[in-house]
Amino acid sequence: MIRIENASYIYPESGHAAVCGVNLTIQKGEFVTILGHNGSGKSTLAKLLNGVLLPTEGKVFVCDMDTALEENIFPIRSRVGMVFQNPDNQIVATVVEEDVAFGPENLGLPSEEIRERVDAALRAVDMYAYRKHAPHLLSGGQKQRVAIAGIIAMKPSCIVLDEPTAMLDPVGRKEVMDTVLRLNREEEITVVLITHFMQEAALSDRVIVTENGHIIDEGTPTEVLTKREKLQKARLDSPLATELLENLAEAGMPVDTKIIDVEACVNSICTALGKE
Amino acid sequence: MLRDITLGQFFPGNSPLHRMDPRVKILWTLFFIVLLFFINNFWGFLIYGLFMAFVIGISDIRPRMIFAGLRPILYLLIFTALLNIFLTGGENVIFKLWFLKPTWEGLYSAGIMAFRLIFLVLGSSMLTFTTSPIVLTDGIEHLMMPFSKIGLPAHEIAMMMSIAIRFIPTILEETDKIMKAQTARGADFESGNILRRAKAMVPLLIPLFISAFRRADELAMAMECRCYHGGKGRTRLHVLHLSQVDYYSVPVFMLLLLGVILTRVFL
Ligand SMILES: Nc1ncnc2c1ncn2[C@@H]1O[C@H](COP(=O)(O)OP(=O)(O)OP(=O)(O)O)[C@@H](O)[C@H]1O
Ligand SMILES: [Mg+2]
Repeated sequence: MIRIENASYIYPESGHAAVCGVNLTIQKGEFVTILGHNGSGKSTLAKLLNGVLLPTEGKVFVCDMDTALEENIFPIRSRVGMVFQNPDNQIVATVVEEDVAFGPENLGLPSEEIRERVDAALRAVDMYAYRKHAPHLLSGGQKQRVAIAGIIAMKPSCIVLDEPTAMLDPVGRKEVMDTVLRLNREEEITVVLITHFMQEAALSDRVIVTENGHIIDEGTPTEVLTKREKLQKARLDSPLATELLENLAEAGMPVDTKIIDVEACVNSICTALGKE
Repeated sequence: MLRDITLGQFFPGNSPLHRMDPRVKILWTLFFIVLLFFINNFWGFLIYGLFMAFVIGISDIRPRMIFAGLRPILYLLIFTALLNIFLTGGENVIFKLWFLKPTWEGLYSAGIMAFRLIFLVLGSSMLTFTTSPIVLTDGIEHLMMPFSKIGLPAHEIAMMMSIAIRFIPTILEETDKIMKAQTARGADFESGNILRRAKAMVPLLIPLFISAFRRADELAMAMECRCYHGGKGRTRLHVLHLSQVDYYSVPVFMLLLLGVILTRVFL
Protein backbone atom coordinates (compact mmCIF):
# COMPACT_ATOMS: atom_id res chain seq x y z
CA MET A 1 0.00 0.00 0.00
CA ILE A 2 2.58 2.55 1.14
CA ARG A 3 6.30 2.09 0.72
CA ILE A 4 8.87 4.46 2.14
CA GLU A 5 12.35 3.96 0.78
CA ASN A 6 15.19 5.53 2.68
CA ALA A 7 13.31 8.80 3.00
CA SER A 8 14.63 11.86 4.81
CA TYR A 9 13.07 15.23 5.34
CA ILE A 10 14.92 18.39 6.28
CA TYR A 11 12.85 21.50 7.08
CA PRO A 12 14.25 24.25 4.87
CA GLU A 13 13.50 26.96 7.46
CA SER A 14 15.46 25.36 10.27
CA GLY A 15 17.72 22.90 8.46
CA HIS A 16 16.55 20.36 11.00
CA ALA A 17 16.37 16.76 9.80
CA ALA A 18 12.98 15.72 11.16
CA VAL A 19 13.00 12.35 9.36
CA CYS A 20 16.25 10.53 8.59
CA GLY A 21 16.60 7.55 6.30
CA VAL A 22 13.32 5.85 7.13
CA ASN A 23 12.39 2.54 5.49
CA LEU A 24 8.87 1.38 6.07
CA THR A 25 6.22 -0.64 4.27
CA ILE A 26 2.58 -0.49 5.25
CA GLN A 27 0.42 -3.38 4.05
CA LYS A 28 -3.13 -3.11 2.87
CA GLY A 29 -5.67 -3.44 5.68
CA GLU A 30 -3.06 -3.06 8.38
CA PHE A 31 -3.47 -0.96 11.54
CA VAL A 32 -0.15 0.67 12.32
CA THR A 33 0.56 2.94 15.28
CA ILE A 34 3.43 5.38 15.36
CA LEU A 35 4.72 6.26 18.82
CA GLY A 36 7.37 8.77 19.77
CA HIS A 37 7.89 11.72 22.10
CA ASN A 38 7.25 15.34 21.09
CA GLY A 39 9.40 16.44 18.19
CA SER A 40 10.50 12.92 17.25
CA GLY A 41 9.26 13.45 13.69
CA LYS A 42 5.93 11.62 13.70
CA SER A 43 3.91 14.38 12.09
CA THR A 44 6.58 14.97 9.50
CA LEU A 45 6.58 11.29 8.65
CA ALA A 46 2.78 11.36 8.34
CA LYS A 47 2.93 14.32 5.97
CA LEU A 48 5.31 12.40 3.75
CA LEU A 49 2.67 9.71 3.30
CA ASN A 50 0.33 11.71 1.09
CA GLY A 51 2.68 14.17 -0.51
CA VAL A 52 1.96 17.18 1.72
CA LEU A 53 5.72 17.14 2.18
CA LEU A 54 8.07 15.62 -0.34
CA PRO A 55 11.11 13.75 0.97
CA THR A 56 14.32 15.73 0.49
CA GLU A 57 16.03 12.36 -0.01
CA GLY A 58 14.63 8.94 -0.82
CA LYS A 59 11.20 8.05 -2.17
CA VAL A 60 7.67 7.48 -0.98
CA PHE A 61 5.29 5.31 -3.01
CA VAL A 62 1.54 5.02 -2.55
CA CYS A 63 0.07 2.11 -4.53
CA ASP A 64 3.30 2.21 -6.53
CA MET A 65 2.82 5.89 -7.37
CA ASP A 66 5.69 8.21 -6.55
CA THR A 67 4.53 11.13 -4.35
CA ALA A 68 7.15 13.37 -5.94
CA LEU A 69 5.43 13.35 -9.33
CA GLU A 70 3.01 16.22 -9.87
CA GLU A 71 0.43 14.16 -11.77
CA ASN A 72 0.16 11.59 -8.95
CA ILE A 73 -0.72 14.08 -6.27
CA PHE A 74 -4.54 13.99 -6.54
CA PRO A 75 -4.81 10.21 -7.01
CA ILE A 76 -2.57 9.81 -3.96
CA ARG A 77 -4.50 12.27 -1.80
CA SER A 78 -7.80 10.61 -2.63
CA ARG A 79 -6.30 7.26 -1.57
CA VAL A 80 -4.52 8.41 1.56
CA GLY A 81 -6.72 10.64 3.71
CA MET A 82 -5.37 12.66 6.60
CA VAL A 83 -7.08 13.58 9.87
CA PHE A 84 -5.40 16.18 12.07
CA GLN A 85 -5.31 16.91 15.76
CA ASN A 86 -7.55 19.96 15.94
CA PRO A 87 -11.01 19.21 14.54
CA ASP A 88 -11.87 22.92 14.41
CA ASN A 89 -9.16 23.62 11.91
CA GLN A 90 -10.14 20.98 9.38
CA ILE A 91 -13.88 21.55 9.11
CA VAL A 92 -14.56 23.81 6.16
CA ALA A 93 -18.33 24.21 5.95
CA THR A 94 -21.08 25.47 8.23
CA VAL A 95 -23.23 22.36 7.88
CA VAL A 96 -22.02 18.85 8.72
CA GLU A 97 -23.10 17.25 5.44
CA GLU A 98 -21.64 20.10 3.39
CA ASP A 99 -18.33 19.55 5.10
CA VAL A 100 -18.33 15.83 4.45
CA ALA A 101 -19.15 16.62 0.82
CA PHE A 102 -16.11 18.88 0.46
CA GLY A 103 -13.69 16.12 -0.56
CA PRO A 104 -15.98 14.38 -3.09
CA GLU A 105 -16.85 17.80 -4.52
CA ASN A 106 -13.18 18.44 -5.12
CA LEU A 107 -12.94 15.11 -6.92
CA GLY A 108 -15.56 16.40 -9.36
CA LEU A 109 -18.10 13.63 -8.76
CA PRO A 110 -21.73 13.97 -9.91
CA SER A 111 -24.02 15.24 -7.15
CA GLU A 112 -26.03 11.99 -6.79
CA GLU A 113 -22.85 10.11 -6.08
CA ILE A 114 -21.70 12.79 -3.63
CA ARG A 115 -25.04 12.42 -1.86
CA GLU A 116 -24.62 8.64 -1.57
CA ARG A 117 -21.05 8.90 -0.34
CA VAL A 118 -21.89 11.59 2.20
CA ASP A 119 -24.74 9.54 3.65
CA ALA A 120 -22.65 6.36 3.74
CA ALA A 121 -19.71 8.16 5.36
CA LEU A 122 -21.90 9.79 8.01
CA ARG A 123 -23.48 6.43 8.81
CA ALA A 124 -20.06 4.80 9.04
CA VAL A 125 -19.00 7.23 11.77
CA ASP A 126 -22.47 7.17 13.35
CA MET A 127 -23.13 10.87 12.74
CA TYR A 128 -25.97 10.58 10.23
CA ALA A 129 -28.49 12.05 12.68
CA TYR A 130 -26.38 15.20 12.86
CA ARG A 131 -26.07 15.79 9.13
CA LYS A 132 -27.89 19.14 9.20
CA HIS A 133 -26.18 20.45 12.32
CA ALA A 134 -23.67 23.27 12.57
CA PRO A 135 -20.23 21.79 13.32
CA HIS A 136 -19.30 24.38 15.94
CA LEU A 137 -22.15 23.17 18.15
CA LEU A 138 -20.88 19.57 18.24
CA SER A 139 -18.65 18.04 20.91
CA GLY A 140 -14.96 17.48 20.21
CA GLY A 141 -15.40 13.75 19.60
CA GLN A 142 -18.32 14.40 17.26
CA LYS A 143 -16.36 17.03 15.33
CA GLN A 144 -13.46 14.63 14.94
CA ARG A 145 -15.85 11.95 13.65
CA VAL A 146 -17.21 14.45 11.13
CA ALA A 147 -13.63 15.10 10.04
CA ILE A 148 -13.13 11.33 9.62
CA ALA A 149 -16.39 11.11 7.64
CA GLY A 150 -15.08 13.89 5.39
CA ILE A 151 -12.08 11.70 4.65
CA ILE A 152 -13.88 8.39 4.13
CA ALA A 153 -16.38 10.05 1.78
CA MET A 154 -13.44 10.20 -0.63
CA LYS A 155 -13.23 6.40 -0.34
CA PRO A 156 -9.56 6.26 0.57
CA SER A 157 -7.83 2.94 1.05
CA CYS A 158 -5.77 4.39 3.88
CA ILE A 159 -6.39 6.94 6.64
CA VAL A 160 -3.56 8.66 8.47
CA LEU A 161 -4.62 10.12 11.81
CA ASP A 162 -2.22 12.54 13.48
CA GLU A 163 -3.05 12.52 17.19
CA PRO A 164 -6.80 12.61 16.51
CA THR A 165 -7.66 12.18 20.18
CA ALA A 166 -5.13 14.56 21.73
CA MET A 167 -7.67 17.35 22.27
CA LEU A 168 -10.55 15.13 23.39
CA ASP A 169 -11.91 14.01 26.72
CA PRO A 170 -12.02 10.24 27.52
CA VAL A 171 -15.54 9.88 26.08
CA GLY A 172 -14.61 11.61 22.83
CA ARG A 173 -11.40 9.57 22.66
CA LYS A 174 -13.33 6.32 22.94
CA GLU A 175 -15.85 7.41 20.29
CA VAL A 176 -13.07 8.22 17.86
CA MET A 177 -11.07 5.06 18.58
CA ASP A 178 -14.16 2.84 18.22
CA THR A 179 -14.87 4.47 14.87
CA VAL A 180 -11.30 4.00 13.67
CA LEU A 181 -11.26 0.38 14.76
CA ARG A 182 -14.56 -0.34 13.05
CA LEU A 183 -13.36 1.25 9.81
CA ASN A 184 -10.24 -0.89 9.96
CA ARG A 185 -12.02 -4.16 10.81
CA GLU A 186 -15.19 -3.82 8.77
CA GLU A 187 -14.35 -1.58 5.84
CA GLU A 188 -10.79 -2.89 5.64
CA ILE A 189 -9.31 0.58 5.49
CA THR A 190 -5.61 0.76 6.26
CA VAL A 191 -5.02 2.90 9.34
CA VAL A 192 -1.88 4.75 10.35
CA LEU A 193 -2.42 6.21 13.81
CA ILE A 194 -0.09 8.64 15.51
CA THR A 195 -0.71 8.81 19.23
CA HIS A 196 0.65 9.40 22.68
CA PHE A 197 -1.76 7.00 24.34
CA MET A 198 -0.45 3.49 25.02
CA GLN A 199 -3.97 2.05 25.29
CA GLU A 200 -4.59 3.16 21.71
CA ALA A 201 -1.33 1.69 20.49
CA ALA A 202 -2.27 -1.61 22.13
CA LEU A 203 -5.23 -1.95 19.75
CA SER A 204 -3.12 -1.96 16.60
CA ASP A 205 -1.49 -4.71 14.54
CA ARG A 206 1.95 -3.15 14.51
CA VAL A 207 3.69 -0.45 16.53
CA ILE A 208 6.50 1.73 15.25
CA VAL A 209 8.60 3.81 17.62
CA THR A 210 10.34 6.91 16.33
CA GLU A 211 13.13 8.83 17.99
CA ASN A 212 14.90 11.81 16.51
CA GLY A 213 13.70 11.06 12.98
CA HIS A 214 14.70 7.37 13.06
CA ILE A 215 12.59 4.27 13.51
CA ILE A 216 14.11 2.62 16.55
CA ASP A 217 11.68 -0.21 17.13
CA GLU A 218 8.94 -2.06 15.35
CA GLY A 219 6.72 -5.06 16.09
CA THR A 220 3.44 -6.19 17.57
CA PRO A 221 2.14 -4.06 20.44
CA THR A 222 3.01 -6.73 23.00
CA GLU A 223 6.56 -7.05 21.68
CA VAL A 224 7.26 -3.34 21.54
CA LEU A 225 5.40 -2.08 24.57
CA THR A 226 6.91 -4.57 27.02
CA LYS A 227 10.53 -3.61 26.33
CA ARG A 228 10.97 -1.21 29.15
CA GLU A 229 14.55 -0.08 28.45
CA LYS A 230 13.89 0.62 24.82
CA LEU A 231 10.75 2.61 25.61
CA GLN A 232 12.64 4.59 28.20
CA LYS A 233 15.27 5.40 25.62
CA ALA A 234 12.54 6.73 23.34
CA ARG A 235 11.24 8.71 26.35
CA LEU A 236 7.94 6.87 26.42
CA ASP A 237 6.09 5.29 29.33
CA SER A 238 5.19 1.62 29.48
CA PRO A 239 1.47 0.86 29.54
CA LEU A 240 0.14 0.96 33.10
CA ALA A 241 -0.65 -2.76 33.15
CA THR A 242 2.88 -3.69 32.07
CA GLU A 243 4.43 -1.35 34.60
CA LEU A 244 2.35 -2.84 37.39
CA LEU A 245 3.28 -6.40 36.39
CA GLU A 246 6.96 -5.54 36.15
CA ASN A 247 6.90 -4.00 39.62
CA LEU A 248 5.10 -7.06 40.96
CA ALA A 249 7.62 -9.37 39.27
CA GLU A 250 10.48 -7.37 40.77
CA ALA A 251 8.86 -7.78 44.16
CA GLY A 252 8.95 -11.52 43.60
CA MET A 253 5.47 -12.35 42.38
CA PRO A 254 5.40 -14.97 39.60
CA VAL A 255 3.53 -12.93 36.97
CA ASP A 256 3.93 -12.71 33.22
CA THR A 257 5.32 -9.29 32.32
CA LYS A 258 4.74 -9.56 28.57
CA ILE A 259 1.22 -8.24 28.88
CA ILE A 260 -0.18 -4.86 27.83
CA ASP A 261 -3.92 -4.92 28.34
CA VAL A 262 -5.77 -4.60 31.61
CA GLU A 263 -7.86 -7.75 31.38
CA ALA A 264 -4.90 -10.04 30.73
CA CYS A 265 -3.08 -8.27 33.55
CA VAL A 266 -5.93 -9.02 35.97
CA ASN A 267 -5.95 -12.68 34.88
CA SER A 268 -2.21 -12.94 35.29
CA ILE A 269 -2.34 -11.53 38.81
CA CYS A 270 -5.27 -13.80 39.72
CA THR A 271 -3.46 -16.93 38.58
CA ALA A 272 -0.34 -15.79 40.41
CA LEU A 273 -2.35 -15.27 43.58
CA GLY A 274 -4.10 -18.60 43.09
CA LYS A 275 -0.73 -20.34 42.84
CA GLU A 276 0.61 -18.84 46.02
CA MET B 1 -21.61 38.25 25.67
CA LEU B 2 -19.68 37.91 22.44
CA ARG B 3 -21.91 35.02 21.39
CA ASP B 4 -24.79 37.37 20.80
CA ILE B 5 -23.23 38.92 17.73
CA THR B 6 -24.74 37.39 14.65
CA LEU B 7 -24.15 38.31 11.09
CA GLY B 8 -27.07 38.17 8.73
CA GLN B 9 -29.21 36.09 11.06
CA PHE B 10 -30.89 33.13 9.43
CA PHE B 11 -34.14 31.52 10.56
CA PRO B 12 -34.51 28.00 9.15
CA GLY B 13 -37.88 27.20 7.68
CA ASN B 14 -39.75 25.80 4.72
CA SER B 15 -41.73 28.76 3.41
CA PRO B 16 -41.89 29.61 -0.31
CA LEU B 17 -39.31 32.29 0.44
CA HIS B 18 -36.96 29.72 1.96
CA ARG B 19 -37.39 27.43 -1.02
CA MET B 20 -36.63 30.13 -3.55
CA ASP B 21 -33.39 29.81 -5.46
CA PRO B 22 -30.74 32.05 -3.84
CA ARG B 23 -29.73 33.50 -7.21
CA VAL B 24 -33.30 34.56 -7.91
CA LYS B 25 -33.70 35.86 -4.39
CA ILE B 26 -30.54 37.98 -4.60
CA LEU B 27 -31.58 39.41 -7.96
CA TRP B 28 -35.07 40.25 -6.70
CA THR B 29 -33.59 41.91 -3.62
CA LEU B 30 -31.43 44.11 -5.84
CA PHE B 31 -34.47 44.84 -7.99
CA PHE B 32 -36.46 45.75 -4.89
CA ILE B 33 -33.73 48.13 -3.69
CA VAL B 34 -33.22 49.83 -7.02
CA LEU B 35 -36.94 50.29 -7.55
CA LEU B 36 -37.12 51.87 -4.09
CA PHE B 37 -35.18 54.87 -5.38
CA PHE B 38 -37.69 55.52 -8.12
CA ILE B 39 -40.49 56.09 -5.65
CA ASN B 40 -41.25 59.78 -5.22
CA ASN B 41 -44.48 59.85 -3.24
CA PHE B 42 -46.18 58.13 -0.37
CA TRP B 43 -48.58 56.13 -2.54
CA GLY B 44 -45.53 54.27 -3.81
CA PHE B 45 -44.55 53.45 -0.26
CA LEU B 46 -48.06 52.28 0.43
CA ILE B 47 -47.64 49.76 -2.39
CA TYR B 48 -44.24 48.77 -1.01
CA GLY B 49 -45.83 48.39 2.41
CA LEU B 50 -48.52 46.08 1.06
CA PHE B 51 -45.91 44.09 -0.83
CA MET B 52 -43.72 43.81 2.28
CA ALA B 53 -46.71 42.67 4.34
CA PHE B 54 -47.37 39.96 1.75
CA VAL B 55 -43.74 38.81 1.76
CA ILE B 56 -43.53 38.75 5.53
CA GLY B 57 -46.86 36.93 5.61
CA ILE B 58 -45.63 34.05 3.49
CA SER B 59 -42.16 33.93 5.08
CA ASP B 60 -43.07 32.07 8.31
CA ILE B 61 -40.96 34.57 10.22
CA ARG B 62 -42.47 36.35 13.16
CA PRO B 63 -42.91 40.09 12.35
CA ARG B 64 -41.42 40.92 15.76
CA MET B 65 -38.11 39.42 14.64
CA ILE B 66 -38.16 41.44 11.47
CA PHE B 67 -38.87 44.75 13.16
CA ALA B 68 -36.20 44.02 15.75
CA GLY B 69 -33.81 44.26 12.81
CA LEU B 70 -34.79 47.90 12.44
CA ARG B 71 -33.69 48.87 15.91
CA PRO B 72 -29.99 49.32 15.07
CA ILE B 73 -30.83 51.90 12.41
CA LEU B 74 -33.19 53.87 14.66
CA TYR B 75 -30.59 56.55 15.46
CA LEU B 76 -29.55 56.80 11.85
CA LEU B 77 -33.21 57.25 10.94
CA ILE B 78 -33.76 60.02 13.47
CA PHE B 79 -30.50 61.73 12.53
CA THR B 80 -31.17 61.79 8.79
CA ALA B 81 -34.77 62.84 9.38
CA LEU B 82 -33.66 65.79 11.52
CA LEU B 83 -31.05 66.84 8.96
CA ASN B 84 -33.68 66.72 6.26
CA ILE B 85 -36.27 68.66 8.20
CA PHE B 86 -33.95 71.46 9.19
CA LEU B 87 -31.58 71.74 6.27
CA THR B 88 -33.85 71.32 3.27
CA GLY B 89 -34.57 74.81 2.04
CA GLY B 90 -38.15 75.74 1.11
CA GLU B 91 -40.86 78.36 1.17
CA ASN B 92 -43.27 76.88 3.67
CA VAL B 93 -41.64 77.34 7.03
CA ILE B 94 -43.44 75.57 9.82
CA PHE B 95 -42.07 77.73 12.63
CA LYS B 96 -39.01 79.82 13.37
CA LEU B 97 -36.84 79.27 16.38
CA TRP B 98 -33.60 81.26 16.52
CA PHE B 99 -31.85 80.15 13.31
CA LEU B 100 -33.79 76.88 12.88
CA LYS B 101 -36.36 76.97 10.15
CA PRO B 102 -38.01 73.56 9.63
CA THR B 103 -39.97 73.50 6.37
CA TRP B 104 -42.85 71.41 5.10
CA GLU B 105 -40.69 70.43 2.12
CA GLY B 106 -38.06 69.23 4.57
CA LEU B 107 -40.59 67.19 6.47
CA TYR B 108 -41.74 65.64 3.21
CA SER B 109 -38.26 64.61 2.07
CA ALA B 110 -37.47 63.40 5.58
CA GLY B 111 -40.48 61.13 5.33
CA ILE B 112 -39.42 59.83 1.92
CA MET B 113 -35.89 59.20 3.17
CA ALA B 114 -37.07 57.43 6.29
CA PHE B 115 -39.33 55.12 4.33
CA ARG B 116 -36.56 54.35 1.87
CA LEU B 117 -34.19 53.41 4.68
CA ILE B 118 -36.79 51.27 6.41
CA PHE B 119 -37.67 49.36 3.26
CA LEU B 120 -34.02 49.00 2.35
CA VAL B 121 -33.31 47.30 5.67
CA LEU B 122 -36.52 45.25 5.63
CA GLY B 123 -35.93 44.03 2.08
CA SER B 124 -32.32 43.01 2.59
CA SER B 125 -33.01 41.42 5.96
CA MET B 126 -35.74 39.29 4.38
CA LEU B 127 -32.97 37.91 2.16
CA THR B 128 -30.65 37.01 5.05
CA PHE B 129 -33.50 35.81 7.29
CA THR B 130 -34.63 33.22 4.76
CA THR B 131 -31.32 32.19 3.19
CA SER B 132 -28.61 30.30 5.06
CA PRO B 133 -25.17 31.91 4.72
CA ILE B 134 -23.83 28.93 2.83
CA VAL B 135 -26.66 29.01 0.29
CA LEU B 136 -26.25 32.76 0.01
CA THR B 137 -22.56 32.50 -0.85
CA ASP B 138 -23.43 29.74 -3.27
CA GLY B 139 -25.87 32.07 -5.00
CA ILE B 140 -23.34 34.91 -5.06
CA GLU B 141 -20.75 32.58 -6.56
CA HIS B 142 -23.12 31.60 -9.36
CA LEU B 143 -24.13 35.17 -10.05
CA MET B 144 -20.49 36.25 -10.23
CA MET B 145 -19.55 33.34 -12.48
CA PRO B 146 -20.07 35.22 -15.77
CA PHE B 147 -17.57 37.83 -14.57
CA SER B 148 -14.89 35.23 -13.93
CA LYS B 149 -14.17 35.37 -17.66
CA ILE B 150 -12.90 38.92 -17.21
CA GLY B 151 -10.74 37.85 -14.28
CA LEU B 152 -13.08 38.11 -11.28
CA PRO B 153 -12.12 35.27 -8.91
CA ALA B 154 -15.75 34.28 -8.29
CA HIS B 155 -15.10 30.88 -6.72
CA GLU B 156 -12.32 32.16 -4.51
CA ILE B 157 -14.41 35.07 -3.23
CA ALA B 158 -17.29 32.74 -2.39
CA MET B 159 -14.93 30.26 -0.70
CA MET B 160 -13.39 33.02 1.39
CA MET B 161 -16.81 34.25 2.41
CA SER B 162 -18.03 30.82 3.44
CA ILE B 163 -14.85 30.09 5.40
CA ALA B 164 -15.14 33.46 7.12
CA ILE B 165 -18.73 32.60 8.07
CA ARG B 166 -17.63 29.16 9.25
CA PHE B 167 -14.91 30.60 11.52
CA ILE B 168 -16.86 33.47 13.07
CA PRO B 169 -18.20 31.36 15.97
CA THR B 170 -14.83 29.63 16.44
CA ILE B 171 -12.92 32.90 16.64
CA LEU B 172 -15.52 34.48 18.90
CA GLU B 173 -15.24 31.53 21.25
CA GLU B 174 -11.49 31.94 21.24
CA THR B 175 -11.74 35.69 21.89
CA ASP B 176 -13.91 34.92 24.89
CA LYS B 177 -11.37 32.40 26.12
CA ILE B 178 -8.39 34.73 25.70
CA MET B 179 -10.30 37.57 27.35
CA LYS B 180 -11.02 35.39 30.36
CA ALA B 181 -7.42 34.24 30.49
CA GLN B 182 -6.15 37.83 30.39
CA THR B 183 -8.72 38.95 32.94
CA ALA B 184 -7.51 36.20 35.23
CA ARG B 185 -4.03 37.69 34.88
CA GLY B 186 -5.34 41.09 35.90
CA ALA B 187 -6.15 42.64 32.53
CA ASP B 188 -8.96 45.16 32.61
CA PHE B 189 -11.04 45.55 29.47
CA GLU B 190 -13.95 47.45 30.95
CA SER B 191 -12.77 50.59 32.72
CA GLY B 192 -10.98 53.74 31.66
CA ASN B 193 -11.46 56.01 28.68
CA ILE B 194 -11.51 54.94 25.07
CA LEU B 195 -7.75 55.22 24.68
CA ARG B 196 -7.08 53.05 27.70
CA ARG B 197 -9.59 50.48 26.60
CA ALA B 198 -8.12 50.39 23.12
CA LYS B 199 -4.72 49.84 24.67
CA ALA B 200 -6.11 47.01 26.79
CA MET B 201 -7.20 45.30 23.58
CA VAL B 202 -3.61 44.79 22.41
CA PRO B 203 -2.89 41.74 24.59
CA LEU B 204 -6.18 40.35 23.32
CA LEU B 205 -5.61 40.97 19.64
CA ILE B 206 -2.05 39.71 19.37
CA PRO B 207 -2.73 36.13 20.52
CA LEU B 208 -5.93 36.19 18.51
CA PHE B 209 -4.09 37.10 15.34
CA ILE B 210 -1.34 34.57 15.92
CA SER B 211 -3.85 31.82 16.48
CA ALA B 212 -5.90 32.88 13.45
CA PHE B 213 -2.83 32.58 11.25
CA ARG B 214 -2.02 29.18 12.70
CA ARG B 215 -5.57 28.07 12.06
CA ALA B 216 -5.40 29.35 8.50
CA ASP B 217 -2.22 27.35 7.95
CA GLU B 218 -3.71 24.15 9.29
CA LEU B 219 -6.98 24.64 7.44
CA ALA B 220 -5.16 25.21 4.16
CA MET B 221 -3.24 21.99 4.67
CA ALA B 222 -6.38 20.05 5.58
CA MET B 223 -8.10 21.39 2.47
CA GLU B 224 -5.18 20.39 0.28
CA CYS B 225 -5.25 16.92 1.81
CA ARG B 226 -8.86 16.72 0.68
CA CYS B 227 -7.80 17.39 -2.91
CA TYR B 228 -8.90 21.03 -2.97
CA HIS B 229 -7.50 22.73 -6.04
CA GLY B 230 -9.69 25.76 -6.64
CA GLY B 231 -13.01 25.93 -8.40
CA LYS B 232 -11.88 24.14 -11.52
CA GLY B 233 -13.51 20.74 -12.03
CA ARG B 234 -15.30 21.06 -8.71
CA THR B 235 -18.89 19.80 -8.44
CA ARG B 236 -21.41 20.47 -5.70
CA LEU B 237 -23.54 18.37 -3.40
CA HIS B 238 -26.46 20.74 -3.75
CA VAL B 239 -27.00 21.86 -7.31
CA LEU B 240 -29.02 25.02 -7.65
CA HIS B 241 -32.05 24.70 -9.86
CA LEU B 242 -35.09 26.86 -10.46
CA SER B 243 -38.39 25.62 -9.09
CA GLN B 244 -42.04 26.67 -9.22
CA VAL B 245 -41.63 29.36 -6.56
CA ASP B 246 -39.04 31.09 -8.70
CA TYR B 247 -41.39 31.22 -11.68
CA TYR B 248 -44.30 32.41 -9.54
CA SER B 249 -42.14 35.22 -8.18
CA VAL B 250 -41.91 36.87 -11.61
CA PRO B 251 -45.53 38.07 -11.87
CA VAL B 252 -45.49 39.17 -8.23
CA PHE B 253 -42.50 41.44 -8.77
CA MET B 254 -43.89 42.66 -12.08
CA LEU B 255 -47.02 43.68 -10.23
CA LEU B 256 -44.83 45.64 -7.81
CA LEU B 257 -43.08 47.33 -10.71
CA LEU B 258 -46.39 48.19 -12.34
CA GLY B 259 -47.71 49.63 -9.09
CA VAL B 260 -44.68 51.87 -8.62
CA ILE B 261 -44.82 53.08 -12.23
CA LEU B 262 -48.50 53.90 -11.86
CA THR B 263 -47.93 55.92 -8.71
CA ARG B 264 -45.18 57.87 -10.43
CA VAL B 265 -47.23 58.66 -13.48
CA PHE B 266 -50.64 59.36 -12.02
CA LEU B 267 -50.23 60.45 -8.42
N1 LIG C 1 7.35 23.77 9.90
C1 LIG C 1 8.50 23.44 10.51
N2 LIG C 1 9.62 24.13 10.27
C2 LIG C 1 10.78 23.81 10.85
N3 LIG C 1 10.94 22.78 11.70
C3 LIG C 1 9.87 22.04 11.99
C4 LIG C 1 8.59 22.33 11.41
N4 LIG C 1 7.71 21.43 11.86
C5 LIG C 1 8.38 20.62 12.70
N5 LIG C 1 9.69 20.97 12.77
C6 LIG C 1 10.71 20.28 13.55
O1 LIG C 1 10.79 18.95 13.14
C7 LIG C 1 10.92 18.07 14.25
C8 LIG C 1 9.85 17.01 14.19
O2 LIG C 1 8.59 17.62 14.27
P1 LIG C 1 7.24 16.81 14.19
O3 LIG C 1 6.13 17.81 14.18
O4 LIG C 1 7.30 15.86 13.09
O5 LIG C 1 7.24 16.04 15.58
P2 LIG C 1 6.13 15.15 16.24
O6 LIG C 1 6.74 13.85 16.53
O7 LIG C 1 4.90 15.16 15.43
O8 LIG C 1 5.86 15.90 17.59
P3 LIG C 1 4.51 16.08 18.41
O9 LIG C 1 4.36 14.88 19.26
O10 LIG C 1 4.76 17.31 19.24
O11 LIG C 1 3.40 16.28 17.44
C9 LIG C 1 10.84 18.94 15.49
O12 LIG C 1 12.14 19.07 16.01
C10 LIG C 1 10.33 20.27 15.01
O13 LIG C 1 10.96 21.30 15.71
MG1 LIG D 1 2.86 15.95 15.67
